[in-house]
Amino acid sequence: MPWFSATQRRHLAERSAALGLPFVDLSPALQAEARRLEGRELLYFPANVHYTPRGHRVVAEALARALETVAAAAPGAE
Amino acid sequence: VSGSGPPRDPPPVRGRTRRAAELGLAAAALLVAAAGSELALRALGIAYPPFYRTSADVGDSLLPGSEGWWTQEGRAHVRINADGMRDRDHDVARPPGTFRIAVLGDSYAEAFQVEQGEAFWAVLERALRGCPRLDGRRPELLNFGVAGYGTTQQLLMLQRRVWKYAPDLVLLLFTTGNDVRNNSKTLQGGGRPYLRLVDGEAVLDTSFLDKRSSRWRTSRAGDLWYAALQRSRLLQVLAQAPRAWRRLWEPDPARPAPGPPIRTGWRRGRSRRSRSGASRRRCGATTPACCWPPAARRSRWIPTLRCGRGPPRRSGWRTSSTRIDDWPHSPRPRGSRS
Repeated sequence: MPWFSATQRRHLAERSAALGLPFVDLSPALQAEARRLEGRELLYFPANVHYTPRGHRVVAEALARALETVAAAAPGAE
Repeated sequence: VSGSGPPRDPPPVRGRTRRAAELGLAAAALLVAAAGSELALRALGIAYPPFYRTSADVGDSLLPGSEGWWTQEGRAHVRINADGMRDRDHDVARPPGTFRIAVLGDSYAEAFQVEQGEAFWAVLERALRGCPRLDGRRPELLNFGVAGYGTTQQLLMLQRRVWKYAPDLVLLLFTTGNDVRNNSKTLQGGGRPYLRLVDGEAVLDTSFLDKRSSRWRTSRAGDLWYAALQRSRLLQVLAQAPRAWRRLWEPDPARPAPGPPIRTGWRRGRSRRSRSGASRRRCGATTPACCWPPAARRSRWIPTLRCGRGPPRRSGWRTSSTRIDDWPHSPRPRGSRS
């Protein structure tokens, strides 16, 4: 149901922007990886659709890319 | 003739002694049987460790110190740390030179399905090491994800358990499939805290604590029960008995009925599998619950989470939500662990 998912994600992006919060949409990274794998490896367990180790890796990589910019703007820890 | 009267009862003291001896013997036999069962269960590796308990501050939460194998989906060794996080132990005081990121979320952040080192927050922590934007600070990820949480419980978690760790950044993993529904008492049912709008103000509804079961679980007796449950395999098995009894009478709708319909189920399952695979590829991996029906054990939610347009066909959905792993014709995907 991509149309529904896209609507939800657009809504979240808009609400986050209105609140001044960074929003990271993980879907493009997961979709690209799913297309690249062509079903050879799953990103989700079929039973309950939680991430497989591969899915977690994709999420982590996408977040790492996004957080690089967010972390720079965060207050220092010292 | 003297001594020909009715026989006298034995002295009451001897009777009490005998009864006490019998009770002692029965107790000893029970103890031996329990100890033997405990040893046998440990030898056979049978365990049902409790991972959750009800807490007064956030509702259901992870049980500190629990440890065991998660096999309901995937297979991973799960350990809950001393502060009730599916994570390693963290000092409350932030070590100098660290950049702390607190992760809030539901089961996707909890990540029981994979080993701790494979969860995205653990991978992310490694990936961020040496990140020039952190100015030499060491990244430290803290995972506060708990299955079933909506944003209300995530907010409570943030307010009541996260801030003490003084994170530099809070990462909220939002699952579009059910994080909104989890906030609704009407849709989700009781048993957790909710926010109600009263005159435009969000008011915390903790009426779940008034339930007898919640009162007991959050009491001192509940503490003792969970402590005993964590330590005794026999208690873990006994605690599963009511669930097993219910399952006996309410068969899992995900499984096809035994007998001739099984073959039909397999055929339909294969057909469904290919269609579902296509659907998953088409959807990519966007919002999981939207791309794939959830486990049919929660069948009452299937209509609200259906993928297709139009009303769901009950029988069809029951088939489509059968576990792929249970289908004998399903090839195990390469690289997958379950």
